[in-house]
Amino acid sequence: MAGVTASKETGERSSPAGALKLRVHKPKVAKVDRAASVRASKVRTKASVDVVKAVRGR
Amino acid sequence: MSPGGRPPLTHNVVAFNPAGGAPVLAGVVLDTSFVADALLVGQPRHAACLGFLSFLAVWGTTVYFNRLLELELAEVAYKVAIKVRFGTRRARQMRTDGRALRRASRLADRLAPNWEGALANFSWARAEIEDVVDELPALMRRGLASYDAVHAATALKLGVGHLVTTDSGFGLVRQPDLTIVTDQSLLVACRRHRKRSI
Repeated sequence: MAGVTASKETGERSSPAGALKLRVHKPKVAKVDRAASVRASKVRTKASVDVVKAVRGR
Repeated sequence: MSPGGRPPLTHNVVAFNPAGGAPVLAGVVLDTSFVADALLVGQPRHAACLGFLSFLAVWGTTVYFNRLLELELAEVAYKVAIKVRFGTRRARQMRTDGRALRRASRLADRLAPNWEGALANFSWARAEIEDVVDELPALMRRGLASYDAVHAATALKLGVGHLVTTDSGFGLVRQPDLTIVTDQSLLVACRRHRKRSI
Protein backbone atom coordinates (compact mmCIF):
# COMPACT_ATOMS: atom_id res chain seq x y z
CA MET A 1 0.00 0.00 0.00
CA ALA A 2 1.29 3.44 -0.86
CA GLY A 3 2.49 5.41 2.09
CA VAL A 4 2.90 2.44 4.41
CA THR A 5 5.93 2.73 6.62
CA ALA A 6 7.50 0.11 8.83
CA SER A 7 5.07 -1.30 11.36
CA LYS A 8 5.73 0.12 14.79
CA GLU A 9 4.44 -0.55 18.22
CA THR A 10 5.79 1.74 20.85
CA GLY A 11 5.54 -0.62 23.75
CA GLU A 12 4.97 2.39 25.97
CA ARG A 13 1.87 2.20 28.05
CA SER A 14 0.01 5.41 27.83
CA SER A 15 -3.15 7.00 29.09
CA PRO A 16 -4.14 10.64 28.69
CA ALA A 17 -5.14 11.23 32.30
CA GLY A 18 -6.86 8.21 33.74
CA ALA A 19 -5.99 5.13 35.72
CA LEU A 20 -5.77 2.73 32.79
CA LYS A 21 -2.51 2.47 30.83
CA LEU A 22 -2.55 0.93 27.37
CA ARG A 23 0.02 0.06 24.73
CA VAL A 24 -0.27 2.60 21.93
CA HIS A 25 0.30 1.40 18.37
CA LYS A 26 1.73 3.92 15.92
CA PRO A 27 0.20 4.60 12.48
CA LYS A 28 1.56 2.61 9.57
CA VAL A 29 0.31 4.96 6.86
CA ALA A 30 2.03 8.24 6.04
CA LYS A 31 0.06 11.34 6.96
CA VAL A 32 -0.45 12.52 3.38
CA ASP A 33 -2.10 9.24 2.38
CA ARG A 34 -4.42 8.81 5.35
CA ALA A 35 -7.62 10.38 4.05
CA ALA A 36 -7.65 8.15 0.97
CA SER A 37 -6.59 5.13 3.00
CA VAL A 38 -9.42 5.52 5.51
CA ARG A 39 -11.91 5.99 2.70
CA ALA A 40 -10.66 2.79 1.08
CA SER A 41 -11.66 0.87 4.23
CA LYS A 42 -15.38 1.09 3.61
CA VAL A 43 -17.41 -2.06 2.94
CA ARG A 44 -20.24 -2.25 0.43
CA THR A 45 -23.43 -3.99 1.53
CA LYS A 46 -26.81 -4.51 -0.09
CA ALA A 47 -28.76 -3.32 2.94
CA SER A 48 -28.46 -0.76 5.65
CA VAL A 49 -29.33 -1.43 9.25
CA ASP A 50 -29.96 0.74 12.25
CA VAL A 51 -26.57 0.12 13.81
CA VAL A 52 -27.65 1.06 17.32
CA LYS A 53 -30.54 -1.40 17.11
CA ALA A 54 -28.33 -4.00 15.50
CA VAL A 55 -25.86 -4.15 18.33
CA ARG A 56 -28.01 -3.12 21.26
CA GLY A 57 -31.46 -4.36 20.35
CA ARG A 58 -33.31 -1.08 20.96
CA MET B 1 -29.05 39.50 21.97
CA SER B 2 -28.55 38.04 18.50
CA PRO B 3 -31.55 37.94 16.15
CA GLY B 4 -31.81 34.17 16.56
CA GLY B 5 -31.90 34.34 20.35
CA ARG B 6 -29.62 32.62 22.79
CA PRO B 7 -27.76 29.63 21.35
CA PRO B 8 -28.80 26.30 22.89
CA LEU B 9 -26.78 24.97 25.82
CA THR B 10 -24.42 22.26 24.57
CA HIS B 11 -24.72 20.02 27.65
CA ASN B 12 -21.24 18.81 26.67
CA VAL B 13 -22.60 17.30 23.44
CA VAL B 14 -20.97 18.55 20.23
CA ALA B 15 -21.29 17.69 16.55
CA PHE B 16 -18.48 16.12 14.55
CA ASN B 17 -19.86 17.71 11.40
CA PRO B 18 -20.89 21.27 12.34
CA ALA B 19 -21.14 24.03 9.77
CA GLY B 20 -17.94 25.64 11.06
CA GLY B 21 -15.77 22.52 10.62
CA ALA B 22 -15.01 19.42 12.67
CA PRO B 23 -13.36 19.72 16.10
CA VAL B 24 -9.64 18.87 16.32
CA LEU B 25 -9.07 16.47 19.24
CA ALA B 26 -5.92 14.92 20.70
CA GLY B 27 -7.59 11.65 21.67
CA VAL B 28 -11.03 10.08 21.42
CA VAL B 29 -12.77 6.85 22.36
CA LEU B 30 -14.72 5.32 19.47
CA ASP B 31 -18.08 3.60 19.90
CA THR B 32 -19.23 0.75 17.66
CA SER B 33 -22.13 2.70 16.19
CA PHE B 34 -19.78 5.34 14.76
CA VAL B 35 -17.30 2.84 13.34
CA ALA B 36 -20.04 0.70 11.74
CA ASP B 37 -21.68 3.76 10.22
CA ALA B 38 -18.30 4.89 8.89
CA LEU B 39 -17.34 1.57 7.35
CA LEU B 40 -20.66 0.33 5.96
CA VAL B 41 -21.66 2.04 2.74
CA GLY B 42 -25.39 2.75 2.61
CA GLN B 43 -25.83 3.66 6.26
CA PRO B 44 -27.73 6.95 6.65
CA ARG B 45 -24.80 8.64 8.39
CA HIS B 46 -22.06 6.88 6.43
CA ALA B 47 -20.68 9.92 4.59
CA ALA B 48 -20.51 12.10 7.71
CA CYS B 49 -18.93 9.35 9.84
CA LEU B 50 -16.37 8.32 7.23
CA GLY B 51 -15.52 11.98 6.68
CA PHE B 52 -14.87 12.51 10.40
CA LEU B 53 -12.87 9.28 10.67
CA SER B 54 -10.65 10.52 7.83
CA PHE B 55 -10.39 13.90 9.54
CA LEU B 56 -9.22 12.26 12.78
CA ALA B 57 -6.59 10.28 10.86
CA VAL B 58 -5.26 13.31 9.04
CA TRP B 59 -5.04 15.38 12.23
CA GLY B 60 -3.21 12.63 14.09
CA THR B 61 -5.85 12.01 16.75
CA THR B 62 -5.12 8.97 18.92
CA VAL B 63 -8.08 6.60 18.93
CA TYR B 64 -8.95 4.36 21.86
CA PHE B 65 -11.58 1.65 21.83
CA ASN B 66 -12.70 -1.38 23.76
CA ARG B 67 -12.34 -4.95 22.47
CA LEU B 68 -16.15 -5.09 22.60
CA LEU B 69 -16.24 -2.83 19.54
CA GLU B 70 -14.77 -5.57 17.38
CA LEU B 71 -17.27 -8.13 18.67
CA GLU B 72 -20.13 -5.74 18.01
CA LEU B 73 -18.92 -5.12 14.46
CA ALA B 74 -19.35 -8.84 13.81
CA GLU B 75 -22.89 -8.59 15.22
CA VAL B 76 -23.66 -5.72 12.84
CA ALA B 77 -22.39 -7.81 9.91
CA TYR B 78 -24.68 -10.60 11.04
CA LYS B 79 -27.74 -8.33 11.22
CA VAL B 80 -27.02 -6.84 7.80
CA ALA B 81 -26.66 -10.29 6.29
CA ILE B 82 -30.00 -11.46 7.68
CA LYS B 83 -31.77 -8.37 6.36
CA VAL B 84 -30.25 -8.80 2.90
CA ARG B 85 -31.33 -12.42 2.75
CA PHE B 86 -34.76 -12.30 4.40
CA GLY B 87 -35.79 -8.65 4.74
CA THR B 88 -36.44 -6.66 7.88
CA ARG B 89 -39.76 -8.30 8.79
CA ARG B 90 -38.44 -11.86 8.91
CA ALA B 91 -35.03 -10.96 10.35
CA ARG B 92 -35.75 -12.02 13.92
CA GLN B 93 -37.22 -15.45 13.13
CA MET B 94 -34.43 -16.28 10.64
CA ARG B 95 -31.61 -15.54 13.05
CA THR B 96 -30.17 -19.04 13.00
CA ASP B 97 -30.80 -19.82 9.33
CA GLY B 98 -27.74 -21.38 7.71
CA ARG B 99 -27.99 -19.24 4.56
CA ALA B 100 -27.90 -16.06 6.63
CA LEU B 101 -25.05 -17.43 8.73
CA ARG B 102 -22.90 -18.05 5.67
CA ARG B 103 -23.62 -14.57 4.31
CA ALA B 104 -22.94 -13.06 7.73
CA SER B 105 -19.66 -14.90 7.97
CA ARG B 106 -18.52 -13.54 4.61
CA LEU B 107 -19.50 -9.98 5.51
CA ALA B 108 -17.82 -10.20 8.92
CA ASP B 109 -14.70 -11.55 7.18
CA ARG B 110 -14.62 -8.40 5.04
CA LEU B 111 -15.48 -5.97 7.82
CA ALA B 112 -12.75 -7.11 10.22
CA PRO B 113 -9.77 -6.57 7.86
CA ASN B 114 -11.20 -3.27 6.69
CA TRP B 115 -11.39 -2.10 10.30
CA GLU B 116 -7.76 -3.13 10.69
CA GLY B 117 -6.96 -1.25 7.48
CA ALA B 118 -8.59 1.87 8.86
CA LEU B 119 -6.67 1.50 12.13
CA ALA B 120 -3.36 1.52 10.26
CA ASN B 121 -3.91 5.26 9.80
CA PHE B 122 -4.04 6.01 13.52
CA SER B 123 -2.12 5.92 16.73
CA TRP B 124 -4.42 3.58 18.57
CA ALA B 125 -4.85 1.52 21.72
CA ARG B 126 -7.33 -1.18 22.65
CA ALA B 127 -8.74 -1.70 26.15
CA GLU B 128 -10.07 -5.06 27.27
CA ILE B 129 -13.50 -5.55 28.81
CA GLU B 130 -11.98 -6.69 32.10
CA ASP B 131 -10.03 -3.40 32.30
CA VAL B 132 -13.26 -1.47 32.84
CA VAL B 133 -15.66 -3.80 34.66
CA ASP B 134 -15.31 -1.92 37.94
CA GLU B 135 -16.74 1.22 36.30
CA LEU B 136 -19.80 -0.52 34.85
CA PRO B 137 -22.22 -0.74 37.82
CA ALA B 138 -22.26 3.04 38.38
CA LEU B 139 -22.89 3.70 34.69
CA MET B 140 -25.60 1.06 34.43
CA ARG B 141 -27.36 2.59 37.43
CA ARG B 142 -27.69 5.75 35.31
CA GLY B 143 -29.66 3.76 32.70
CA LEU B 144 -26.93 2.78 30.25
CA ALA B 145 -27.16 -0.67 28.72
CA SER B 146 -24.23 -2.94 29.48
CA TYR B 147 -22.75 -2.54 25.97
CA ASP B 148 -22.88 1.24 26.13
CA ALA B 149 -21.51 1.21 29.64
CA VAL B 150 -18.38 -0.66 28.47
CA HIS B 151 -17.52 2.05 25.93
CA ALA B 152 -18.31 4.89 28.32
CA ALA B 153 -16.29 3.20 31.06
CA THR B 154 -13.35 2.88 28.68
CA ALA B 155 -13.39 6.64 28.16
CA LEU B 156 -13.70 7.35 31.89
CA LYS B 157 -10.99 4.88 32.92
CA LEU B 158 -8.56 6.21 30.33
CA GLY B 159 -9.34 9.82 31.16
CA VAL B 160 -10.12 10.52 27.50
CA GLY B 161 -12.61 13.36 27.53
CA HIS B 162 -14.37 12.64 24.23
CA LEU B 163 -16.49 9.73 23.01
CA VAL B 164 -17.45 9.60 19.32
CA THR B 165 -20.77 7.87 18.71
CA THR B 166 -24.00 7.87 16.71
CA ASP B 167 -25.95 6.49 19.69
CA SER B 168 -27.76 9.26 21.55
CA GLY B 169 -28.09 6.99 24.62
CA PHE B 170 -24.58 8.01 25.72
CA GLY B 171 -26.16 11.28 26.82
CA LEU B 172 -26.97 9.40 30.03
CA VAL B 173 -23.33 9.64 31.14
CA ARG B 174 -22.85 12.43 33.68
CA GLN B 175 -22.29 15.70 31.83
CA PRO B 176 -18.99 16.82 33.43
CA ASP B 177 -17.38 13.39 32.93
CA LEU B 178 -17.55 13.04 29.16
CA THR B 179 -18.04 15.12 26.02
CA ILE B 180 -20.20 13.31 23.48
CA VAL B 181 -19.15 13.92 19.87
CA THR B 182 -21.98 12.92 17.55
CA ASP B 183 -23.71 13.56 14.27
CA GLN B 184 -25.41 16.95 13.89
CA SER B 185 -28.79 15.20 13.49
CA LEU B 186 -28.45 13.56 16.93
CA LEU B 187 -27.57 16.64 18.98
CA VAL B 188 -31.11 17.29 20.18
CA ALA B 189 -31.79 13.68 21.20
CA CYS B 190 -28.44 13.36 22.95
CA ARG B 191 -28.84 16.66 24.82
CA ARG B 192 -32.33 15.60 25.91
CA HIS B 193 -30.78 12.53 27.59
CA ARG B 194 -28.23 14.79 29.25
CA LYS B 195 -30.88 17.08 30.68
CA ARG B 196 -32.77 14.12 32.10
CA SER B 197 -29.71 12.51 33.63
CA ILE B 198 -28.23 15.41 35.62
